[in-house]
Amino acid sequence: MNSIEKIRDDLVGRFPNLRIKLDPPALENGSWDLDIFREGGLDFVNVEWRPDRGFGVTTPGPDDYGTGVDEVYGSPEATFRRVVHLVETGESTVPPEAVRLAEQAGVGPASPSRVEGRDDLTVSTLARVAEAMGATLSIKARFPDGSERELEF
Amino acid sequence: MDQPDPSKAERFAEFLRRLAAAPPASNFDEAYRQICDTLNGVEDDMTSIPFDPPNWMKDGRLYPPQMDKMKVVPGRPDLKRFRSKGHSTTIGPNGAIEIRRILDDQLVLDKPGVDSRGV
Repeated sequence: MNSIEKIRDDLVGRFPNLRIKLDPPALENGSWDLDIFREGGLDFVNVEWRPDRGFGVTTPGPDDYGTGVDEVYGSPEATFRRVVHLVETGESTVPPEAVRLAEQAGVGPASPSRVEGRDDLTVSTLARVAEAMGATLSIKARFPDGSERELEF
Repeated sequence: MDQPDPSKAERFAEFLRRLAAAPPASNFDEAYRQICDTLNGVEDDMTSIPFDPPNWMKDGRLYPPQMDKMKVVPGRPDLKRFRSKGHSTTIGPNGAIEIRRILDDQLVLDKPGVDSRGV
């Protein structure tokens, strides 16, 4: 069993109700693809594995034809943890071109993962990251009774 | 001020339009070349992103399918299928081309080969 088959088996054990499909290469040194289909109309999660390059994780949109992977991980353990997080939260990966735009917007850190890893962030920095990604920033407070209220700045 | 490049959705739609309008290919090599030339032409015409394959992971340009992304088609050894993140592109020995979305298996291009048959 290779690394991506192990990830597949672990994901099937973790999410027995999800459709999970392995797409092996035709050529010996080609790339493997693992697709995890999330519920609720979300984009699926794709893991591309090449033993010499590591694991690429992406939540492809309908027009992502011929673009690179969004995030790269070096170990099957880190890849598994990231996929579990994406499935459980419904979040999307962030394409590198958005990172490039964020840099052009003057956000500073080159990678959203590094942005996410910071201890503290200003709202204006988050707003610039969102803007560079073509989105708008929205912050909600969730209360113990389940209600939510959007915070305005 | 320069206009931003059209979105990936607009460029992908133009790629499909041009590919569908191109003459039917007569074999795999011709169809594969047609896909590559058409997509590269769209990106050259519609974006400011230079053709730079070593930078394909992060430049946002759409690149044609590569041989190391070829997949098996069970029960159809005559077909060659290429995987991209969200799509499968299948080429038949008659030059027919089929592109499907992975998410829902929706057919987004069905281009017959020189014999007027699909894949």
